[in-house]
Amino acid sequence: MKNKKIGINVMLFGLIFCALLYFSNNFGLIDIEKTAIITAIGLDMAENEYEVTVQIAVPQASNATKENDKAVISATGATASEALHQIGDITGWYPNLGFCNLIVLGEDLLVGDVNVCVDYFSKTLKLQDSACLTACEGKAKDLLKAVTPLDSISSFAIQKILLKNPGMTSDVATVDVKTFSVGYFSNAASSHMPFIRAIEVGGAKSGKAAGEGEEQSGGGGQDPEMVFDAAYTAMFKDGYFVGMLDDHETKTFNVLNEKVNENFFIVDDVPIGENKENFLLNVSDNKCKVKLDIENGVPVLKVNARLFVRVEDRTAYQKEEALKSNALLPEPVAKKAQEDFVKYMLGIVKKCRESGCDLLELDNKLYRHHHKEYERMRRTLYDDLQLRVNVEFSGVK
Amino acid sequence: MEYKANDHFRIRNVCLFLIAFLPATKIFLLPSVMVQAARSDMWISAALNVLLDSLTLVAALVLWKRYEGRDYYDILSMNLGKTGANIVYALYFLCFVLKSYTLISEQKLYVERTLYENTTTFFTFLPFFFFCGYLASKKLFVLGRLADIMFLITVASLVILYALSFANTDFGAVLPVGVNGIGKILSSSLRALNWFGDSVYLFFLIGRIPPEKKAFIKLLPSYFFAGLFPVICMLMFYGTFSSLAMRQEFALTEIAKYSVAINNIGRFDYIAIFGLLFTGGAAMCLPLYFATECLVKIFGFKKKVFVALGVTVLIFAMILLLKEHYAAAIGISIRYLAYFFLLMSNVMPLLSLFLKKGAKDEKQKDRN
Amino acid sequence: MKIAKELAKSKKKLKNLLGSDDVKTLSFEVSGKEIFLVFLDGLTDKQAIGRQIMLPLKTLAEVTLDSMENCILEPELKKLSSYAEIEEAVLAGDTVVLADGVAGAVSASAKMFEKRSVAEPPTATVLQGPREGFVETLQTNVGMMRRRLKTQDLKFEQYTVGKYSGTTVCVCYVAGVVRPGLKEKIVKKIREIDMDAVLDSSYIAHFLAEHNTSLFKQFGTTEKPDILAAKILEGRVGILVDGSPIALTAPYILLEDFQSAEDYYVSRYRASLGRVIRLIATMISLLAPAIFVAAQLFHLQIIPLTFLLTIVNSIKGIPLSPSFEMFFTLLIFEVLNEASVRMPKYVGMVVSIVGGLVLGETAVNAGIISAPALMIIALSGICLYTTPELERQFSVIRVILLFVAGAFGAYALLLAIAAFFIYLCSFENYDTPLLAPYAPMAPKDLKDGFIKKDQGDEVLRPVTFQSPNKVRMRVRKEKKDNGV
Repeated sequence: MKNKKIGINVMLFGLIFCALLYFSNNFGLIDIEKTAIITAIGLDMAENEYEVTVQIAVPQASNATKENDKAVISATGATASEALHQIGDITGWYPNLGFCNLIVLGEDLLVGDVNVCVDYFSKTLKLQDSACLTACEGKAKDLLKAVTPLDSISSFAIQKILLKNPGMTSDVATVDVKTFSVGYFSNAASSHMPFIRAIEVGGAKSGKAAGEGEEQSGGGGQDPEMVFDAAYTAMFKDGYFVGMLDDHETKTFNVLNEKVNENFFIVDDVPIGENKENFLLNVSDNKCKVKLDIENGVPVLKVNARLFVRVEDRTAYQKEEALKSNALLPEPVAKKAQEDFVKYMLGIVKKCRESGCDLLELDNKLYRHHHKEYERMRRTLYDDLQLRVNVEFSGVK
Repeated sequence: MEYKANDHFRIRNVCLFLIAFLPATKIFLLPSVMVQAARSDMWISAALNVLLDSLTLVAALVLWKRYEGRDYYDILSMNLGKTGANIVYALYFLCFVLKSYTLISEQKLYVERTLYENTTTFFTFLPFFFFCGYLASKKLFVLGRLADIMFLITVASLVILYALSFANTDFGAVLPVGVNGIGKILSSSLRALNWFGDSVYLFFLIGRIPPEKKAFIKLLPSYFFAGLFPVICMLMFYGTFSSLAMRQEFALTEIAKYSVAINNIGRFDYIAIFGLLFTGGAAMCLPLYFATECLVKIFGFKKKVFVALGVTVLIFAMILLLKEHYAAAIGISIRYLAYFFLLMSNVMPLLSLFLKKGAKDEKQKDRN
Repeated sequence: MKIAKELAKSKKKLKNLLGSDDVKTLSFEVSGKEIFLVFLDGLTDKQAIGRQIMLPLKTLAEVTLDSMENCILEPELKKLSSYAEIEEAVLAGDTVVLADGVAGAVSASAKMFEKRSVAEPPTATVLQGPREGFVETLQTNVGMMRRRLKTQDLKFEQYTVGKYSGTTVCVCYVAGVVRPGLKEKIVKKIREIDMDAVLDSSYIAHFLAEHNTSLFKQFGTTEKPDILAAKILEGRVGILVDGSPIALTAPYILLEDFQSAEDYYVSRYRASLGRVIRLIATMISLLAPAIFVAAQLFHLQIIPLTFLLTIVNSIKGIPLSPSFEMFFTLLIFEVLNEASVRMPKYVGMVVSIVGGLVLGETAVNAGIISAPALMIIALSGICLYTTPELERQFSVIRVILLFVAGAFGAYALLLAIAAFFIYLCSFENYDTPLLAPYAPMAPKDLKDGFIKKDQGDEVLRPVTFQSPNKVRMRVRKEKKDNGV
């Protein structure tokens, strides 16, 4: 009985202690009201210093597109983290990076080793390293300030472009901070990220338009509305920007690496009779296998790709063809598509060879599956590489 | 020997006990400790640890069969005398306290660094010690009942985490198997001994388990099922981070967040993480619980609650005093104390197989 | 003290014993001897006294104890030999007949008092299934039970408890089904009760509880005879108290409050869905305010971004901190709850409207509390009433969890929940674990757990209650035999 009384008293004391902490707000805790929720970070170089631009989710801004740039704040520092702390100092808010799902690197940052700043985001526990990482044309600050009809907050619009792709259209080679760092720290020290360009709605201007827009807004003018294109992929070796995959190559690269449900493959100049037509194929499924073999001491990259497509559209209308099923893929179209695919594939391999960026992760494949040959072959892998591409486009309903 | 109806463990309880608590302690800091030595072969090290502990489990079962209804202390007393039993129990007390220091420190670090967004205070982790003391003061049957509920939470949480991480895991990263050499694999196993060795708890339960048929058939699959989770965790950890694995600290919160689903909906993997913290909280207290049991046996204390309180205060003091030297303390535990843990968790149980005095068969022989 | 032959002595004695204005007496002469009637006004049927007691007595040729007993036309007659027995009988509503020269008395039950008619209990309304509820009259309740279980194994044992109230407490069980020793343990505790009055069954519950300081209740309660019948058929003991429409059952397990009477009258799928919903609702009710506060203070990342923005939007300009705001909202809710329960029905409705609509909306518009906080508390409040029997305990636990979460964050909240589980796991009443059949797990009993099996599958009685008679139906076997 005495024990029970002691127990009840301890409970009571505990509850009073809880109540004390509870009502004192844990003696001055930084709660939701004092926190700035950062949804995106942009990094630029400004006079040998890092200029960090953050997009803060200001709820009122979500109702008005024009308010977007008001939620974008910049600060500079010798390192990315120093600049981030500067933002906390100048705004009085406690910057919460937990919701930051986008990191944009400005074009001028691509001149040096980007991992110098990316590594901070990879290491810090404040930010999720699952945040999307992308490079951009022009300044990252301008990209984040851009007004877009896609969303009231520009970073959300960019995220839509990046995140709708995995497992769906595969137009963008989306990476997160962790994947980039894994590539950087791998034996091949190779990684990639999408390269975003802002395009003015109507297509009149691109790239620098966003920067100009900022100046206009300062002068009281109206910002042009922008959309974003992330079809290009920047290649990195040892953290340095070494090359760029174009939109076709990016798509081919994605088709090889992931499952595709809703991709479009453009086939130009298909000889149909005496004319040349353009076809748009809808890729509804794919089965791809990339294998590195060693035959007679020579590395052979075997690419087996099977794409299940429908003819979505064509440039010329032929009445006799119109009633046929979309599943029927005309022989010349399949042939041209296969040729194009091989061409893009060769393009990727060529860029990898020239830049030294092991985008196809052949180094990993060599290490994992032909470990004994690894040390002998790793340095001349792409130089000695033979490519065997077997592509098949099949019509499917 | 009589078994009090409400104070015994059934074999089913032990099975669920293993499933509920064994995996829950091995997914916080352990992967990052193991990867330092064995790198891509860390999963082999984990599998070796699981196998090693299965020998302890078998030893406990053999002893349980041999001395039906007798607890480990009685068995030791009959064979080594009261003093011998006290020495062994004192060593186990030391082993459990040292083990719990690492486990609780790890939990503290995890909670403070990843779970709370703001700078944490002294109070943040304080409730754990209240919880610890409370659990340690309870009777053994409570652990069994707790396991009956918690096993489901552990399994469901791990399945959710693994399912979310699966698509983003490059299992090929662990290839080629064994490339790091047997030396490093064994070294990694040795480093992990602080976290493994759960089977030894069975020695402190054997007096409470009534005779049951097919105990081996029920227990071993359950044990290996439970042991499978840490091995998969190591595989997924390395498959997710590969070249970055060396610098990761806490695997638990990290492996699932790269899922596309999480990108789209938000961090709903926290449901599973909280589930594991829920069971993990209890699992981290187990060494302390059995340390209390050891003291109760050695000194014959009547009021367990005060012993539990004392042990909790001891561990609280250790955590508080070594706060600044956490890394060094963990380092010592991993490098040097591992041999002590090996002795207590694996060697001693196997040596216990030589204890035969006062066994059931022997008694029958005497009667005959 | 034995009843004297002289009526004058008896009258004097009774005046001392029963000197109250509602004790009525009546004298008349039969065959030269004075006959004296004592009864309580308000508890007796005066017409019956005249017709069935006085009229037959007046026809007597010789007045003796036996002749009086033989001529009174009442089914419940009893010979009394002491004044204490007279006192007890009169206070119980019987009419006692004394006669000059007769050393004894006869009590006749000519009771009649105002009582509530049998109706559907307001706390256990059902769409399907019986609608009868217990009333305040023990005899009626016993009758309702007997009507449902027409077996000689259904036993009722009555005890009088309460120094001043003299309340009848009735223990009912099915002999051969109840675990040996359980009924005896309860009866022993009932006999040990020494208190002024037992005005409701909850008075008894307090004395029968094995852990007096416990936060959790230790007895099942029901207002419905069908539920009580089902429970005692599982091996429990029922306790009916005169003057209370609420029957107690022991041993109690937590799961039974998640089981509704209706679950047994609808399909197993609907019953399972209902139980799972009740479980989820209970969890929401206990945890939603705590998690919301912990998330706002310590763990923003567990809130989806879009919802977080909504919260940020709504708390702008609110003077209270998140923790204070939630406490304030909960306080208002509890105040409204208390007020609406205690107030007369028509006023209660007004309070609900004023509190729920006017006060809530005005508080949000005035910027005192935020809409999400109000919504969380409203949701929590509604969810709690999916298990109305647990409302009192869980509303206390909700406050404790809210304080823990607001003070230490989600990790401490998890530990607090785990500690509650440990507490519940170690909790037993009458040797029955509170968390059975989940902890300790009794796989056979899970058929009537959160996922309910078909009624026909529940062949055995729950092992949790350790009934010596294990089988409760042989339907399936017979079916199989028929099939063969």
